Amino acid sequence: MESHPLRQPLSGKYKRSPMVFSRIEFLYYFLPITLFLYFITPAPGGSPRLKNTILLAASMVFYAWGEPIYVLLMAAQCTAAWLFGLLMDRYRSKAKGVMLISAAFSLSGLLLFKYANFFIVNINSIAGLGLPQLRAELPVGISFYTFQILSYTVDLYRGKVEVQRNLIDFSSYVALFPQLIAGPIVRYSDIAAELKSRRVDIPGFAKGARRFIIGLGKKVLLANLLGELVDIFKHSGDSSVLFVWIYLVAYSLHIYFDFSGYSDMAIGLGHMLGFTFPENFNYPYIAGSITDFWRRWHMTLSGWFRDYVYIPLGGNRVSVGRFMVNIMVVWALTGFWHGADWNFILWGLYFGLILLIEKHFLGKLLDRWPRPLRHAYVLFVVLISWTLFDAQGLSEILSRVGRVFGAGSSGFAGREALYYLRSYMLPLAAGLIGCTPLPKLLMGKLERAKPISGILTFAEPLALAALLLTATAFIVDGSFNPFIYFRF
Amino acid sequence: MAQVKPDLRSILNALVFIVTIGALFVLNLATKPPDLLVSERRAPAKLPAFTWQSAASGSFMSRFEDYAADNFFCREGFRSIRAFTVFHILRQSDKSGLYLGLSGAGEFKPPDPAALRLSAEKIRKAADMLAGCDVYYALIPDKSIYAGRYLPGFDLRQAELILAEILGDVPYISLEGCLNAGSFYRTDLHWKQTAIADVAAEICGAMGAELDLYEYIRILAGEFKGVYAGQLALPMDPESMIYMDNPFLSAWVLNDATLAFEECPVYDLALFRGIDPYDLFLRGPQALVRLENPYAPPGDLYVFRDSFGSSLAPLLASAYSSVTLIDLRYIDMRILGQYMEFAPGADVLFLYSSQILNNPSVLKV
Repeated sequence: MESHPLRQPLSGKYKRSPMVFSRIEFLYYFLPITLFLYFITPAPGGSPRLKNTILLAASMVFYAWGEPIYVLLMAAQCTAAWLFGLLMDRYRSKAKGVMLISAAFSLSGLLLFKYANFFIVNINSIAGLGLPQLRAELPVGISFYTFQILSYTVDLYRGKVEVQRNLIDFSSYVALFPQLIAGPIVRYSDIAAELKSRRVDIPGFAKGARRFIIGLGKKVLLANLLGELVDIFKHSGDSSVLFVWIYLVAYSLHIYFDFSGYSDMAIGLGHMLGFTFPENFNYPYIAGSITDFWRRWHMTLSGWFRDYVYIPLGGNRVSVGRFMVNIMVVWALTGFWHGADWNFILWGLYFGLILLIEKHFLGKLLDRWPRPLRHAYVLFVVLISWTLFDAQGLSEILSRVGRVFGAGSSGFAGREALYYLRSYMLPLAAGLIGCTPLPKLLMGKLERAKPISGILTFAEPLALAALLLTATAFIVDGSFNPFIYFRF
Repeated sequence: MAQVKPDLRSILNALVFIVTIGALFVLNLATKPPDLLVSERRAPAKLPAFTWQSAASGSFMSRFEDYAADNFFCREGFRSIRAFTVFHILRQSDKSGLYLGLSGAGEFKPPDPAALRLSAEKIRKAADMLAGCDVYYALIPDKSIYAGRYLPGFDLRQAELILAEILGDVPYISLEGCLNAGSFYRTDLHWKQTAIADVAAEICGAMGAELDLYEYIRILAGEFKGVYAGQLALPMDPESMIYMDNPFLSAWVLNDATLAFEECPVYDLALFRGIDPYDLFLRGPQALVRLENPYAPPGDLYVFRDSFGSSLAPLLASAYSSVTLIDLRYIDMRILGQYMEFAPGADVLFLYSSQILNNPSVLKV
């Protein structure tokens, strides 16, 4: 399992990058124009259909910015799912068949663009064939919008949601730019009512703006900085134990702030536009078990797999053997969802195995452990998991895991490790504190303290302004700005 | 859905967001783009023309992103906010590899062994074409090694070992001991001409020539801020650039258009006031430059060099009646014979900084 051909960057004449929230063209061109058009568009009779049309048009521009051609693929997927929905509603006796065809059609895009080359490479490797690979780039966000479409299709079949008869409203749901390319995975049932009627007001907008700015700060000021440290480690010749631990901590914080920052921005944008998106993170690094961790990390994805894969497979109401198989299937798929490569599958299976161990052996024991020990256990398991997630092949996984325990290292602490530990001390400390509920608890206490609460009326907007301008300064000056979760 | 009355904090939070993104949107549209990004010494990207073809290919988006980044309102001010945050709030030791140390600002880049080997092989190949000459090489130490603290930058010892593996029989002139933190401009990559007499003496001594700087006088060209001042975006004091003039020196540069040597000033003050003030020395980047000093001992020296060589050559010209500078970034070794000949028995020096050795693709051999 060495470096996978799919990981090689596809050469193109122009760099194609999606319009992400932490880029100038989004923040200072697309967003002001979109918000202006959105808010001046009337909602006659309280119906937001015209606003939905504006959102759909804006979302298409947003997606086409990085994927001019693949916007047609997304439009085709939307239209097909919408038509199959109408058919399902009209021919209820044949709903199962229609649902399966619709689901197969939705998944075909994902299989073709994301997984086909993985299978071709592995079939070629096993059978010694020379099947040609597809020369197609991965459409950004395809994993997210495919899962959103599937949630509508399956829920409609199950009778949990009503059919959406308006293509614009349905496409607005699928393509809604705040959650289009990196989630959270919003189910149709989450926002079906808001597509018909929603309130857009100052408190909602302010709540969204606050959440967006905090998310932007998490992404730009923490995730990107820690991402630089991760990058430095990967290019460093210092193979000391300390440096690999610094890397593990930095990567863990980087991926958390990157993804949760993006989710905050998406949820914040949703509030500004009158939508309530589901939460995606709940301080995962304070979990007391891996089972608890997965109730707190990427909650919309784990919830999706629970409701649309695990429960249909029988959930835990089956024999022990079948249950174990179900768990491993679900987690292999969860890993595979993150990327078409073996290390992602291994990453998923690793968590599946640990969840099984917790369920059958360790769970009750964990309850008796002191809390610090439980947290240490969770952090250790999660930190090791990120080496699988971030690795470029089996040899790299083995090398990094070995160095965690001192095998193959050049000593305990190299000069580079010490230099970067000192240089990144404050960002690391800020990250470690920021990934716990401490800042939120502190803010809550300040809110309840009468004199301070009054000061906060002015201090909070000032702090938000400072955070927004500082994040802008980092964006203007820096080019190190990728989001991890586009690849998925 | 009951109407929620907004409190003052909500109103202010909403205003902060709307006013910031709205105002910057308007200011970005209304502000005239600069002609030159002074800190980066390049022209900013231009607003691309929209066509359906350019949109479909992605070129419009790609170019618009460059335009938006380059022409952002108060760009330098925002860059300074970032630098201030990195160094003074987050207390980081460097900003993406740009540091502030005893030797001033700099950028550390560790040696790339593969790149160094390739550079050494290119030098080896070029040296092999110079039969009959006495060939030497020297590595200009990166200023980061004089920064006064450990920086994960250029490891001179590692680089020397790698070069010696391939250039083992070519005499090496070590310059490490000739320089210190004060030898370099605080805001720039380069060394000061006034601080490299020891370097020139070391080189001349190793090649059996005698340096004599008696005729040289110091002249102030003016004040400047080097490349790192712009890259760091921190307030840094301007520095004085002083050059060592010798009235008996004359310089001849190969004209790219006529392909003939033409006389030029040794120190061109007009170029000092241009984008890169270090071009003061022998017109900066030039394929071939020849210095002549009728009062120096007879002898020819050929220096394969980068920009550091431009300021060193006038000093070396006190020990050789003819010093020819060859920049292999701008002329291919294989066509060099069309423009010059190497005098038999002449001294040849390959003198490169770490930046060039770490980036061998620029050397045309």
